[in-house]
Amino acid sequence: MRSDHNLAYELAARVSHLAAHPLPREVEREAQRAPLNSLATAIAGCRAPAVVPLIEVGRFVTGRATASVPGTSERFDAIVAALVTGAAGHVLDFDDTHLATFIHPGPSLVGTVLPVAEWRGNSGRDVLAAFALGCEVELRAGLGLTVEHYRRGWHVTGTCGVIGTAVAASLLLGHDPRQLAGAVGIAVSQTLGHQEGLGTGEKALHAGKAASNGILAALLADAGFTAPPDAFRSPGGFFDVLSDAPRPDELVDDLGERWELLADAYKPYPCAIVCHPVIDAARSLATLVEPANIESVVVQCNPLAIRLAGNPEPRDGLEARLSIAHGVAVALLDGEVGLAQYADPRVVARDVHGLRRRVTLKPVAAVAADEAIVEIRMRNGSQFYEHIAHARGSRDRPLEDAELNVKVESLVEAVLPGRSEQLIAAATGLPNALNITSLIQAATP
Amino acid sequence: MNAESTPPPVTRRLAAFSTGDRAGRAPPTTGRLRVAGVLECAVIGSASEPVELALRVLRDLDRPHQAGVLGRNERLDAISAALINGIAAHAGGSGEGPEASVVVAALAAAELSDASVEQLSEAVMIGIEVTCRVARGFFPDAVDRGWHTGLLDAIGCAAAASRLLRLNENQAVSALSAAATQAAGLQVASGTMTRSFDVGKAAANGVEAAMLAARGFAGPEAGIEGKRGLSLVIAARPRFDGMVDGLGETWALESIAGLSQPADIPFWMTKAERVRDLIAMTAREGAGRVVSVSSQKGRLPPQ
Repeated sequence: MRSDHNLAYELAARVSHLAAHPLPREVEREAQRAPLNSLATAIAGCRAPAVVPLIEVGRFVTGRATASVPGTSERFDAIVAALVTGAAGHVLDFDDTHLATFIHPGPSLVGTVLPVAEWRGNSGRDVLAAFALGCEVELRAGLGLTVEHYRRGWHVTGTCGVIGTAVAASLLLGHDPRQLAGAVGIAVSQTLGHQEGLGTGEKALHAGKAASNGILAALLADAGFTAPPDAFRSPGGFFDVLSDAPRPDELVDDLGERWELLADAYKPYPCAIVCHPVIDAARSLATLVEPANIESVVVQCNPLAIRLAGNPEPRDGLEARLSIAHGVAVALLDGEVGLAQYADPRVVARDVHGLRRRVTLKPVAAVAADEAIVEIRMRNGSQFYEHIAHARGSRDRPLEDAELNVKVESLVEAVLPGRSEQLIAAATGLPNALNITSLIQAATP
Repeated sequence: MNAESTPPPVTRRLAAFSTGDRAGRAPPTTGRLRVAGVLECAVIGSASEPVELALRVLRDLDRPHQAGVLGRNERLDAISAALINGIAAHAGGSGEGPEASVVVAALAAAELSDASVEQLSEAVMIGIEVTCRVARGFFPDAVDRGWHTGLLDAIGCAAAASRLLRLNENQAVSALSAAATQAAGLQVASGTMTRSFDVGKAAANGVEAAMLAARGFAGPEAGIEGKRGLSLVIAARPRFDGMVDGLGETWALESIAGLSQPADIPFWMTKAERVRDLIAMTAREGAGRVVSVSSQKGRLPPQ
């Protein structure tokens, strides 16, 4: 065991080294797709009610306008733009999920790299590297805390998000390993996020604050602010306090060889990812059954899925995003599951309510988190069955480019008509872009 | 005690306490003395290195001039002013009790609402009380776990800011929950500038939470006592009853060993009617110049 060496510095040194070299081809591909995915959700989420107060406070406190907010004409300083963009990207629950940790890395990282790069004029390649490495450290911090941290009730997107955003911002500011370790040390003091806030606007706030806190940490480190030398491994440090069963070495083991970013799943449906395999199954059965004649629906899924999304009777769109029963009901009734199925009126509609009540959730430990079995019994006694081994969008069944582009199109066109093609082209062109101006132009009115 | 018993509605009770009418219910001098103690520390700390470094960052952002930086002839947006003044107070020796962050948060909110020193003092006392009440249920367990004693500071800051920004009870519930979900600060930061930063960040987060809630941000109903709320910062079930029993009748803040306060209200403080005058008194001509502190321990000189 490496109990006496400085883990924060080792991490910083290795991250700096990786940032100075080209990313492996498949990593670069996801470092383009992941931000495109979250940029699209940020554009679609910028008008959500939970984001409005952030924009209003932002207008009040912002400094010099150096950064844009995707989907809007708002221009703020980088810290305010990060707060709003991170929250907007997460608020629809349509972003991405790293299934091993339940972290949604995309929104807060997009909320960090776009404002900083627009402000400081970084190249497209810088942005991809900052996103990829920030994401990698964030997901590995989550693995190091282990699922015990999540089970206790932490919203990992916030607690680990602030680590990833500090790394990303620090790289864009051109920091050396010492400054990078400093930024992370300051970030560790700003962890946030309790699951109590899920189902309210607070969930989105966590992603927004993860972004703005990370930038603040990097800027302070830039100015020479001092931080704990090893905020990760020390007693009273990140892993010691935030987990009962930590594995700190996850931060650096095989760093640069194994990429957790490759396991980041882009959501095909705007709800908690544990609902996705169930929705896949229900959609596949939707063409076979007449919903009005359904007697009962039995869902077998992972116990954690029910713990997180067991709400049988959601009252609005935010709550419905954490309801497997709702996902099943709208999939069977509407055949498709998009933002319309999580609009408040649809959530309280009579037919949806009626079908949700016929859904029973059965926790089965042997069923994986990306797996589900749905059995439908009809009033006439006939039965239907579907087993989804890996949800669409999961590591073993990732979204194809075409599928991702369809998603981006539907999200972007609703807010910025006629822009999705330009946005996809700008994201695809990032590796050769001198700066991110074309991406920002495509993402704003 | 039944570990599964339903906790009292702590967040709502504290929100009601923070925003409710309390005419004639507490000695305002206590609040004034605490304000004076923190002001003195912040002025002492206002030329310290962490303040200079953090100001470099904030000046670069070019934020609007909404609230004063203590000890300096300089203004920032309300959230950043709370951040800087908190860093200054800690760097100037405020210690690690809840007073420093609550006072600087309240100062920033008070400037936004053009409050009187009287209103400031009352909000400060309420904010400190809220942090102390919540701390009753979480300390020392949270500290044994490795959090530092500033873990809960943002909650009292949100309470004080909610009062000064005239939030209603429902809005204050959201403000307190938003502050609770940001409870942070690890012992590993001790001895570095980051520990001072934590005091300021708690204040900034509290002010921001109240500003957001005032504009319609809606958080959970039970951010403090909820099953997956603040409770998770410790392994055991927090002691919720002490957070609300006798709230408004008995004062938890009287039992804490806080920073050294002046024995009497310093006369420079009696001269200020509005908070903005009070803050202006700490500044001298010329950006970045700091008032000298008299040889008498911790007293500001008359202007």
